[in-house]
Amino acid sequence: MKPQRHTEEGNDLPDLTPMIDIVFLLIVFFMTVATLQVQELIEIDVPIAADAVIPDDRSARAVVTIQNDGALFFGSQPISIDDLSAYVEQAREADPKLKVYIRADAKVPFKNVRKLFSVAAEVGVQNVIFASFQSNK
Amino acid sequence: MKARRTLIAEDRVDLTPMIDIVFLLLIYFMVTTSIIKEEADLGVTLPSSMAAASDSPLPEQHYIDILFDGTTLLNGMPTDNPGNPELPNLKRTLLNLKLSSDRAGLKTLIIIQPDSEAFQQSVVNVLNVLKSVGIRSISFGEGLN
Repeated sequence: MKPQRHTEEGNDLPDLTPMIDIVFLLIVFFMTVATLQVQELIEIDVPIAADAVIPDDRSARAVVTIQNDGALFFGSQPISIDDLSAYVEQAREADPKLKVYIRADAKVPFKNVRKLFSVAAEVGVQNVIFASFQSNK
Repeated sequence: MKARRTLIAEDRVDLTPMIDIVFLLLIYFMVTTSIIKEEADLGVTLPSSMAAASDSPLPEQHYIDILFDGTTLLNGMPTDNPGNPELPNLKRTLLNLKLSSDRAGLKTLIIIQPDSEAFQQSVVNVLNVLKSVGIRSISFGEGLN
């Protein structure tokens, strides 16, 4: 009964427009979320620490990334170690509770991280956080 | 125009392939967003320059050296195989040290002295052990060279 009517009258097809609208909205939503997440963080091999905790609050953080070739980033902006203290200082003035969030590649030699410690100490930031993954899966 | 459409079904654009692709895209973006792993925190509070009260007891101080190959030394003694990121011996020894100084009412202060060439992963392994043992007073010193 039904297939016959389909071929005879086009009107009988269900109207797909609202469904397509919603699906497009969902796509746009997930696309923006995905690109936002990617843009925020420079890609590195984050070290693994099973007892690290995923924080509820990520505010008041100066994100400093070191790639394993020693390249340094403040947020997503490439920067040299000499300029870094000025940027961190500025961020600390804007928010006195600032923490320095060090995203160092697992293969970065410690001498590079030590420089960041001295920058944090120089500027007067006492809270330093290392980025890590809880597992390598 | 509309009247014709109701009469001839073939006149409509076939939406099926588009819907297929759109669904594929939807699934792709849904999966990739949830796959991105969340980074966790391993915090260190750098010692402040505030002077301690003169009558405060000195903390129990222990040194952890990290050599360039990831070997970990506790007070100069090798503890674990560098290939083992869990550092079980270090963890057990530190737990005992902490329990005994807790009983004596003393704080445990750990000074980590990584070699300049030691990888960040080795440092994070040690910090992870300190976190699991519950030692909060951590300081970084110059490494052995």
